[in-house]
Amino acid sequence: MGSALLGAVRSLGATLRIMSYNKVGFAGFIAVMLILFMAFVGPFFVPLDTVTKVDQIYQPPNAEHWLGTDHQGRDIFSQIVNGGKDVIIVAVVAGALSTLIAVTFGTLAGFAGGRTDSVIVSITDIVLTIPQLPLLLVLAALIKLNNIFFLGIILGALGWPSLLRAVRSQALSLKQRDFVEAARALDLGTMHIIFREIVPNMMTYIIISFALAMTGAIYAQVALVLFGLVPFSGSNWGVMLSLAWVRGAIYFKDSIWYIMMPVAAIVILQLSIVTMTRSLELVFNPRLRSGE
Amino acid sequence: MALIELKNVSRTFGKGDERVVAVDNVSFAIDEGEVLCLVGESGCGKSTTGKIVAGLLEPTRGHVLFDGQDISKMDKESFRRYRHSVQIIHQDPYASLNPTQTVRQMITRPLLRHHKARSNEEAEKRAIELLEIVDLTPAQDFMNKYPHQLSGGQRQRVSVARALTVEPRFIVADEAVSMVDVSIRVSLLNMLSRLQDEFNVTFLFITHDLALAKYFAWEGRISVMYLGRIVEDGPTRRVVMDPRHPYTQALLAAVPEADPELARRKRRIELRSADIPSLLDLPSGCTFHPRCPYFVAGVCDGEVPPLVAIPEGGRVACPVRKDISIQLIEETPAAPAA
Repeated sequence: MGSALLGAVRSLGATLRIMSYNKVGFAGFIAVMLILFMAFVGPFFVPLDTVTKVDQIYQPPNAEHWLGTDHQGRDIFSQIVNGGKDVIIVAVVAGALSTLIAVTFGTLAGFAGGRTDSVIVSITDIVLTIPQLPLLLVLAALIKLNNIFFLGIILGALGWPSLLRAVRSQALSLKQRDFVEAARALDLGTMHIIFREIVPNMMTYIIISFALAMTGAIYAQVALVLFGLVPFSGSNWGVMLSLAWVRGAIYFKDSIWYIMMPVAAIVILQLSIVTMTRSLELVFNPRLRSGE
Repeated sequence: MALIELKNVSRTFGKGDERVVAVDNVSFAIDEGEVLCLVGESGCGKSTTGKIVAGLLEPTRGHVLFDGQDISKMDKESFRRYRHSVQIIHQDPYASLNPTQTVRQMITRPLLRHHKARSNEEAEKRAIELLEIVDLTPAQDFMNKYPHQLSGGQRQRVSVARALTVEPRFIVADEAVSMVDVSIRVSLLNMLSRLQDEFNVTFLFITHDLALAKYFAWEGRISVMYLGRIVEDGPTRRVVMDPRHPYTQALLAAVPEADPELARRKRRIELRSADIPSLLDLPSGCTFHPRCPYFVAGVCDGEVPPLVAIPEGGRVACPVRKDISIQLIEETPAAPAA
């Protein structure tokens, strides 16, 4: 037990060391960690400001309100801190689900070939041609999307086709490689060939796609909230944008801080995720580690 | 009984007009402990034959027999035994190792999976033994290396060690040394020869280089392939000293001699054409006839000449030249150039 824990800590340390070889990527990784900390631990320390203060409308950032105030004089910083959790959960659920579907079925299609391949590719092509946002708008009208996990699942269930095609073509090319043939000659089994020989060679690509799927999901859910199609409970960055829009904040020059803050939060999160993939690449592709 | 036997094996790729016959009606047998060298130029079907022997490609026609049993009719258990008995070593040391795995993972995984080692410690010990067999010493230093940290020759040795994990009786070495530097080629070949002597491993050694074939299979046999067919085979000594098929003669004449005296006396064989015919449009009869200096109209472009046994040993697929010896090295030195 103790030694297993020690081993886990040591391999975590080794992974972090590899990630630190790329400075930009490591900065992205630290930023992601800070944002996660802010979104999940922050709300315990910074309660959501719900008191309307008519005399403090649209204040620029100052000592009392770090990021200014909104159309009702409420603190924007507390809204940013409290509004990240839902956005991140939906992004992770959607990204993980679409990546899982794409990798599993893409590898299967490329590896099995024949009829399995044609069926999977046809379904993919159909899903790929569905215009996503209009479908989400229709879905939002038909079913209540008030559960964030449910929203994540729906976004994930629509986001996999392009990654699947990429994974399939990589699997097609990888299965012809000599090292896969050697694994076949060594009788290591199909599971070993897929998960030990083929998938690790696509990991870099999968990780980047996962990050992009997450950013896609963030945009899609913010758009849904912005259009007012997802009933917004509490606070989230999409709700802030939507409120700013509905209250006409975009027509006042004083309200620039209000509308820019959720935009900035979304942009910083996206940027951090995308740069973090540079470090994750190093973990999954030993050839890139120039530090060794 | 032969360890591996190919009976009238053919393999085609593609469909319709794009159909290519990569291997055409090839038969040979390899006995336990023997070395057979498959020689021919690029695209002649040597590698395809090697993959068919290793069970990685199925023949379109014909049968592959292992220990006298047809591999396409084997039950699961016998096929598994055959699969483990036959291993392949690929040509390109940069493609045959998975870039995401360390040497330790590559070697211990097959050991553990096939119960050649009962614990991680035992697998580790065995892996080090295997690395020492292929002359990667100190073995401990190589265990944590990724392929990109190794040289071409070292990678090829890892590839051999990996093949040895399942204790194979037969190894298909598909151009196994042609992509490594000449300076380490000999030591790799010697290492493979040692496997043959110490572990009684049988070899199908595929190469385009007759000089290598001479070196590696001097005690064994050579089969010469041209455009998917075997045109001549026999004991290495006979094929090298007394080649009968005009194609074999041309190949041997093209091998450069290190000794300038020999090189000057070496006979040149002028081919009628330097181009290899397209596999999509093979010549009729003997496929070598458009290039052959001994072409006889009506004989060579009619029927496909069968492989006929000759008394000196082996078989030759040339009705015109099969009984005629030629001297590749002239007896009298050529007159010095003025």
